Amino acid sequence: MSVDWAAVYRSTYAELVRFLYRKVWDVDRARDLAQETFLRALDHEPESPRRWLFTVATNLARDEARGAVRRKRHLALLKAEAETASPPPDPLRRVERLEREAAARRALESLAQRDREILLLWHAGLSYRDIAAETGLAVGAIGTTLARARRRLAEAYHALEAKHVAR
Amino acid sequence: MSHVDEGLLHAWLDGGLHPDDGPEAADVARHLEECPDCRARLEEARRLREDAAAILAAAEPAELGPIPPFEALLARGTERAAADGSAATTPGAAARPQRPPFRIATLAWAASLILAVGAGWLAREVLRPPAPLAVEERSATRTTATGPSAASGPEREAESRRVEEQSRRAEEEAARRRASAERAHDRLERRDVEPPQPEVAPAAPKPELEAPTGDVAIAPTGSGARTGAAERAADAPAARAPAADAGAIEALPPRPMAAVATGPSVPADAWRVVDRAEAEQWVDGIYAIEGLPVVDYAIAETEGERRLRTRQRLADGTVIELVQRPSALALDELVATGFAPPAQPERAVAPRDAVRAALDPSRRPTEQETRRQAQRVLEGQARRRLSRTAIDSLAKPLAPSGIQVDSATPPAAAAATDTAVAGVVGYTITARAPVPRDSLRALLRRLTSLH
Repeated sequence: MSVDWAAVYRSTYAELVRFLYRKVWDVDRARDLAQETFLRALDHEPESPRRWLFTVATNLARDEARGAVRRKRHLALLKAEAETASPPPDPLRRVERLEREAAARRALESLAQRDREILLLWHAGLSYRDIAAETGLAVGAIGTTLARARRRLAEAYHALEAKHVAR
Repeated sequence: MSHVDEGLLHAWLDGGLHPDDGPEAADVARHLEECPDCRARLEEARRLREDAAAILAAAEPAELGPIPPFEALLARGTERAAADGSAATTPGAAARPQRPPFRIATLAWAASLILAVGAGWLAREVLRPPAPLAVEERSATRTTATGPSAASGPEREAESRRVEEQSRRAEEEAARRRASAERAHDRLERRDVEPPQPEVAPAAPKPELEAPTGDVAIAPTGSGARTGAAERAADAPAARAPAADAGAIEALPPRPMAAVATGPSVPADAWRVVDRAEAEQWVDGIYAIEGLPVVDYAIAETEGERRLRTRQRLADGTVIELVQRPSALALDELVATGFAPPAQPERAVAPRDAVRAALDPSRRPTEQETRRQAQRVLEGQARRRLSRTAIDSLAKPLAPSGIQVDSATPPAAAAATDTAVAGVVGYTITARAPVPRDSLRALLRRLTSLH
């Protein structure tokens, strides 16, 4: 089977970067990993490109988290923040956005790994069946897992928000 | 049917119920009609779903940055293949021993061929024999380690279309979810306590932004032309200037760099439609997109300069317009440039399918043909002893991605500044069509001289 990878690349790249960003929290690394994911896909020609891409991206992000590049990534994050800080269109809004992002990140990271994984795969546009195939869960269990993940995410986020307001 | 549990409500809202996997969506809907308790819980599930989506939307990068061109990916694969084999973190990778990176190596060959053929565009004489010129990225990706194709053409195309369709659907789905999340996120941001929307169906899909209309110019710059980052900075506003109507290139707002590309403007009424024989007399070789029917030829003379306008029809009936004007610059002065107007949603944009159809692989050169063509090009280069500088100057805009991003351009414009294929010695070709930029560039790669 031949896949038009140029078309798949164009249609999936941005979503893959967003997906990876929520795992590595560094847009440069997310872009880099997204390209790495596509490179591997080109070499393997999977039958279900999209599902395969997100599977490999998940693995790469996991490897990334385990790897010794954490320090480097941290530095990259600082650099990125310094860069994005240079043209502040509205400092207040920017601070608010960063605070929301930090809270969302902490809430997401407070979830159990499987709940987080399923939530991110759903948000990236995968179907229940794809998510089931990817995670090994039964299709019928995806809704329940998603419901739980959403509830916990919302609870964690709003708790952080309340704490922030109380300060 | 008994009450619907929370997981089933979420699955129903997500459109995740399949007849093979349990209760059908219709069963749930029927029960919801009858059961006020479950309807109340449905609303709660809907709010929770939106809340979670909004939180996820908050956890997005402020800027994704420009999407690197596919060729850049291939170039990266080239480097990888040259350095070592690629390790696999893939499903089932543990069970599969690492194998030589045949495919990437093949792609690497294809990527370098893009450069070689690009160089060939310069050596116009070499290209005189009727031969397809372009290596399109799709043809590169279709190449396999074992040969051009194992499956028959129609089967392969049908399969490819199927996968593309799946990919497109998934993309739309992701966009829909993102749009829904963004709406919810706005509410989250405002902290409004609005009553929930009484919608039963999941949120309607938000229309995808159309890709901006492309306009790619192949511009020679002479020694008198400005160069460098300062010039690019000066041109940045021009790069963001809105495009004129689909009509004539001449109607474009003044842009220093584009002026280099298109030269003095031609009044719309100065064009005179001619037949092909007359067009051939007018210029030394008509350049057009291979495989597209010609609508008409028109000629004009401005400030002593002869121009040819060739219009060709894309599959959906829209027209690509090529304006060919002389350029007597030396090889090492040829650079590729271009600009990209911002998106114009009100303007009809040809669907990608139309362009895909125009780029039908059946009309594209086979791998063998491309190899032969590359060979001719390389031989031609040797004969003509093109200077190293000339080749380097060509390689620069073409490799690894064929796209120059002006570092002096602000990030937003850099994302939109999309450029550059190659040129033909003796002429500058400016192309315009109501298609996405990348499609226009892909079309331009199929520029060939008619015989």
